[in-house]
Amino acid sequence: MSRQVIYKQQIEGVDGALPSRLRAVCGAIIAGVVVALLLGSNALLNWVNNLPIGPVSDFLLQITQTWQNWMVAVGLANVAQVLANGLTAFQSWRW
Amino acid sequence: MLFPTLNFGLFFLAVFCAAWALLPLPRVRLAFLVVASYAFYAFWDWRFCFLLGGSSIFNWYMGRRIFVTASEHARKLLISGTVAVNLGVLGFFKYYNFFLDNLNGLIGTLHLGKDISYLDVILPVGISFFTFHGISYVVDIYRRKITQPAPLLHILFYISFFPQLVAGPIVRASHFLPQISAPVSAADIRARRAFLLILGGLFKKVVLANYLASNLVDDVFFDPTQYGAWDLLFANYGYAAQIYCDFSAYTDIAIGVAALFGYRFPWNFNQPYRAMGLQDFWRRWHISLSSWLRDYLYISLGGNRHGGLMRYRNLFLTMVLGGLWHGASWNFVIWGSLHGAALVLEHALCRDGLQSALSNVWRKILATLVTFQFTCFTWIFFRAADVPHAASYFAGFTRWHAPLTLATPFNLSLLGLAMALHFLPPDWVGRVENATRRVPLLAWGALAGAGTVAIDSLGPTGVAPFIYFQF
Repeated sequence: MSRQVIYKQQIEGVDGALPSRLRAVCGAIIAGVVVALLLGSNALLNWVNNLPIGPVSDFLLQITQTWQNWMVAVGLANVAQVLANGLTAFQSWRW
Repeated sequence: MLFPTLNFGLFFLAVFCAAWALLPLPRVRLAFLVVASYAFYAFWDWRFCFLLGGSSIFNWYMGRRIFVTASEHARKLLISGTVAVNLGVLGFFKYYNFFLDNLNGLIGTLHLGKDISYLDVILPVGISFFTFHGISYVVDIYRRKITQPAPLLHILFYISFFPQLVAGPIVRASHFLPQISAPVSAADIRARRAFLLILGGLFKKVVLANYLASNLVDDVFFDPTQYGAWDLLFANYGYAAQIYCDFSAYTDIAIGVAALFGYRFPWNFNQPYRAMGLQDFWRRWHISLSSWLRDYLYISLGGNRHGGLMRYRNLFLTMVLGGLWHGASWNFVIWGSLHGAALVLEHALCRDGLQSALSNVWRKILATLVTFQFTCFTWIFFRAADVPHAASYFAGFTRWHAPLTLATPFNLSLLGLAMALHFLPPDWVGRVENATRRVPLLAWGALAGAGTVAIDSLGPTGVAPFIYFQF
């Protein structure tokens, strides 16, 4: 008979967490995606620019470029840029 | 496909939608998640999907054989053979050239003839992790921790589930298989916790770990002779913070992503640099690996059953092999040996660990500082490219006259923030969840979207892989 080995109970990362329903989670994820699209148009455009060249990526590039122009016009594209600039300034700060 | 990329974000969204749409068909859902996990793995190198699949099928088959075998002797033979095959495959991919390198060195030293030629062996991403998952399954069957052999689909899913496939946490078979068998509830998704863990993980990886690496650690470890002792010490602390932020970020994201699919992974870190002694450290650092090594290696070697000396031998061997598990290099052997030797010493001096032997608060603080410093020094072997680099790093600790040049406000802030996050109370996620329980989930989602964009814009350009991917 193999020896009885007792494992220690592992504590789970979601122990005691609040449960949510799928519908609410889907809503939250959609909200997250919408906010990310609104604020992250620069990152989206960079990502599309790095896709392999082809008819699909050309089409995506047109759409994302138009989207980014809109976001620049309403000022939302600048939010991420302001953060990045702030961090760059902090990085170059010396005593 | 790395977690902090848009590629992974899109992959996750597609898999999330499809997996929950397939909820009424549990077997199809599981099969779909297996296919998605293999697709995730194929992003690195599709050829290794066959290795992953072969390893899973082999362990599934051997698990069944062990389960139906009545004779204890035959069971022992089967489990030994199965573990040997698993370790043989791991050894071939991970250690073949390392072994040959040392063998050729020996042949050259002894003038025994021609060198043995090397093979062009590519290390499959995550091989150490999926091999350990396979071993966990067959050993749990052997130890009768699993009362029924699992169906093939469940084993394929257990070993390949994409959040933990390439860098853990190492989930015990007896812990995860019951979750696969149980129905997943659409009314019990721990989404708030998942969002917090994913966002926190992204921040730790993209901002803290990546900047610590690019601004501080990488240059110093590349050529330590160019720096004075203060810079070396600062970079050493920087690496301690970087590896914590990097690896804990990966596991936090993995726990969060798995939670969004309705699965539960164990914690992998618990403020490791707070440890009083090395026993305590290994209960807090990479908990799933140290539990695995204890349950499947230390105990299999005999554990503490045959007296003090054998116990120390087993402890030391476990740590040396644990070190070697991290990579085929003498650096990792030295790193594991140092931890093994220190653990043996600690066990010899105080049987139940340093933590329980200390009563005075000042002694506890001193023990924490000594443990932290020891851990940091051993990280030098872990991070250095090879032993000569580690030696020149240590040699640099004689140059105390050189000024500290790397402690810029930015680097100090990074280090301070990393340590502050590390010292957050262990239940910080629960506290934040409770404090914000009235905030609707929709707002949580919107905040997560904004947070992701903010983290992306703050991080350096390019995507650095996680440190533990190489293991």
